[in-house]
Amino acid sequence: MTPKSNPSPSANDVLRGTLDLLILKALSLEPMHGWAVAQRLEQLSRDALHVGQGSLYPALQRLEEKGWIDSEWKATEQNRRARYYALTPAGRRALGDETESWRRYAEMVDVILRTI
Amino acid sequence: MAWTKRWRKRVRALMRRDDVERELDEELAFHLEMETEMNVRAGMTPAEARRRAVLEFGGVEKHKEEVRDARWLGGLNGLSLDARLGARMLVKHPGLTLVGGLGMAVAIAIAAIFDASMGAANSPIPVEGGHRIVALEVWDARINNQEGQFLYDFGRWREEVRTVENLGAFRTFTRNLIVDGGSTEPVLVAEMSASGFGIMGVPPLLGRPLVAADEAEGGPRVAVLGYDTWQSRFGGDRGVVGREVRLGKAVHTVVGVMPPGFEFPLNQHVWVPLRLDPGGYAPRTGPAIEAFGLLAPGVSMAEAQAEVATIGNRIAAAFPDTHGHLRPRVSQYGPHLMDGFEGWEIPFMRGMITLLLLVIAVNVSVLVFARTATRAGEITVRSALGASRRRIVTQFFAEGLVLSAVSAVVGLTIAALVLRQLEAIMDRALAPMGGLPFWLDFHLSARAVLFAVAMAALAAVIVGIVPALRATGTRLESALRALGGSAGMALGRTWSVLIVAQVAFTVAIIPATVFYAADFGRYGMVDPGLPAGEYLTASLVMDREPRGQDVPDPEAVRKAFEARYAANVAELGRRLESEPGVMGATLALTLPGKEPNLHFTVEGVDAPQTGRGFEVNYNRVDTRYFGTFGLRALSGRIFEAGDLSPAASPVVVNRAFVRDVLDGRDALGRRIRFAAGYREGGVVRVPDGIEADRWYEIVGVVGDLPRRAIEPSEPLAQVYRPLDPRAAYPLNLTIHTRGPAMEFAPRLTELAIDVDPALQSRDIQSLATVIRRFQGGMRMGALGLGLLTGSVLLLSAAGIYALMSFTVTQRRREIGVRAALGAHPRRILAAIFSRAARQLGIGAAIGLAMAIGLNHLSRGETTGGHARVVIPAVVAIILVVGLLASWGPARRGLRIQPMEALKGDV
Repeated sequence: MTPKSNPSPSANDVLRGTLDLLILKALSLEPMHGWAVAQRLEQLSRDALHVGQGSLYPALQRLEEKGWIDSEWKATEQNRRARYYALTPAGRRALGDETESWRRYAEMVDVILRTI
Repeated sequence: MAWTKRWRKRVRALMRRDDVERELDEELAFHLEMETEMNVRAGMTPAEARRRAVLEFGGVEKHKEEVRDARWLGGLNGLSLDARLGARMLVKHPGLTLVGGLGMAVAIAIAAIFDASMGAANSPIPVEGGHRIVALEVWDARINNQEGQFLYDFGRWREEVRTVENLGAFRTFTRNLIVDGGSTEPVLVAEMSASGFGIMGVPPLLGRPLVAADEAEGGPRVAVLGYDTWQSRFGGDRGVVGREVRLGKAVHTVVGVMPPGFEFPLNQHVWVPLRLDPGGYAPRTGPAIEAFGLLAPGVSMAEAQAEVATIGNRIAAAFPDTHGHLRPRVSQYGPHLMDGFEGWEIPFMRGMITLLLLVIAVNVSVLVFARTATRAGEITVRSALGASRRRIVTQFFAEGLVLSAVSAVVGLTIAALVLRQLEAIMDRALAPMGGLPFWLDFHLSARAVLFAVAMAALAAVIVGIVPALRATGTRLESALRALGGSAGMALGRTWSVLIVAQVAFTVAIIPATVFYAADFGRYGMVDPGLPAGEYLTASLVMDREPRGQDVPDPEAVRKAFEARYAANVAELGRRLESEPGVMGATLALTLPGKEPNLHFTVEGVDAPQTGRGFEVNYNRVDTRYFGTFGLRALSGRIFEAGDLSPAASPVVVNRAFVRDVLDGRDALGRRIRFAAGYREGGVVRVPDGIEADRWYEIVGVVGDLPRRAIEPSEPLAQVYRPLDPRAAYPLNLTIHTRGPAMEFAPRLTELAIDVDPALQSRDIQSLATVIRRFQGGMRMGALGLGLLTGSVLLLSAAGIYALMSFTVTQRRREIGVRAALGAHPRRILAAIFSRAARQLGIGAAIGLAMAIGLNHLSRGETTGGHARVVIPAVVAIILVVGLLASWGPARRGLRIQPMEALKGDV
């Protein structure tokens, strides 16, 4: 996979709240380290979404502070130390709630866009 | 449990910051490695792969900062780091720390001391509902002072006033408390209405308090003891109720003991009932009393005042002659003692202190501002590395907070120490009245501490946040571009004016403080010239009816009192002579070294100021005085028994008199005459027994005692007259003992009471203690003035230093260019110095004019007549200090390497 060439910021910048939701979604499958989360998000969005890698870590810190995810140091498959993040039960509940509210929001925007 | 784990992490993030930071580094490094590996797999060279990975990630430090912010208490998370940074900055800039910190500490100490004093003066009696206890006073509008003889009014109040309950009155005096088989000492007694006990609402520890029935004329004599008296005189004997004690000559039965802390109305330890019938006195007659009461429930101070004023108007209408100018007044009990200071004094002091605080605050902020300005580069670099503005301001705030917190602690410590001294000094000064009122407590109030904390926070805001906001306010790029050149902040005219004003102020004030400090220090070290530890001193007082008591023939009463007193002291003197522990005993008007000053004209000698004569110490002493203090006649004779006859008018002078007044001319046979009274408490007094137009003849010359004046600016020349015990009261007794003086103290009390139970020996202490206390005060004064002088000088020097430092930093590039173009170092130095020199010069010139004016106004007193030496010396000191303060920055300026400065590196 090649890095994206000069992505347009307006299309690819992810709102902070949305980024949180996407991270929770990515982690809902299995615990993974930060770089893998970034990769997973790009994969899931079929490379359309470019997550600012630097802003990933503050977001992870924020979610951990909220108690939605938990972290621990583990060895990777290549036997290197990495910090793995996993959803907590509270995080799983939050993912449901956030997904629901995001859908409602998206629908609402959609309705407005159709109407006007 | 999820939440316990979360809290463990939070605490860990706070406590083990290093570990958490290392993990963050490791995590980000891992991320970059993975990204790099991926790029390599995609076919890039390792170097290119790494470059792209880093580029992709963005500013590492910026993201780290964001992670930190996202942590628990993220906004504060840097604070302890900042505090440590702040502490490091303080150590790195010891000058700023010392000067700025000292300035703030002094400011906080002064404010706290003033606040504590005001708080003490304004505090109500510390009992429940103490703020409802009131004092009722009658003010004489003509002399703006209290009128004590208001028993008649008091009687009317008792009948008519509804807004104040439990009205009572008291008067105080001192009596020997004589206990069979116990020690005897004078105690403070309150003759008080029984309602005084009800007002305080404090139940007795033993027995009962005074009750209304005790006030009946002719009833049994009863007394209530205070806790301290009960402990010290009766050893805390629980069977004391019912015992008999003597107060002077009168026998009283103890009916109760009050708990510790009860010393109402002022600081009394024994209470007897007040037996005065107000109905028996015409308006404005009778003994002087003081009155108190308790506000009725739901009544305000203003309502009580209005009612008492109305009654006062009715009395004034009925008795215009005696009451036309009297105004009754109700005020809170406790603070009412400050009523005498109602005018301008307190606002004036408050204003002066505010001014002082302002001066210090300005100085400290000049210092910090100048330093912050020199750190503009650091701020810019940090911003570029991703620190938010909030983060930088927080850091500067923390730095300021560390400095001001340390200052607050130091300042409060100083204040606590000074307050303890102040309380002791005031207690001693008020010793004749029994010391400070019992409720006055000069402690650091919670309010003062809070105030200091608030001041510290405010100082941190001023010295931290304001400069930081200004420094971070500029746009990043322009600041970056300006990094190597000017600091982008200006230290404008205002600061220059302040520096000039400060130098002027310093020059004006320092001659006086230097002189006084030196003087105080000198007198604090004077050697008394005799074994003062072997001299016991006491003031001899005799019970006397309180002032204002109506007697048929006051003149006869006075004569009888004088005769009895004279006989008593003479008898005491005789008994002392036969004591084995006594080498000599003498009576005098005052202690040596504490004589009042009088003006005398001397026959055949012109006085320095016409009409006023020579200022000379004056004392009256008995025939044994000189012998007791080891003085002998150097020429002529000392006093003899016949010197008191009306025809004789001998005086003895000392060696200093011959030297200072007579310029060494012959003293014997020369006559002197009293020229003017001495001032005491603003009143000119003529000493007892001096006749203004009479010539006194010098019959002898003795050595000096003390060898040097104990008080500064007091004359050493001395005139002695023979003592007539009938014409002087109270007298001072000095006993030369064998061995330590205080060991004889109990025997002295015993002897005095044996002569007459009404004879009190008060303030018994050794002469060494008298001198030591006095000298201690002098040394403290010297130390205080020295510190003040030092800090004023230091602050001035620091201001100049800060300004110079700033100028050099600001003109770095210019200096570099000039050096590169071949300017001579001396010329550059001159350029740097010129601004400092100009400000110093203007300041010194203004200060010089002020100092000379001050010296002129005080007739040379502010410099002790050494103006020609002291003032130029001070100007020289200031100039040297100022130039020294500019020297460091100037040298730094000279060391600037042209290339370095031009390259724009910091």
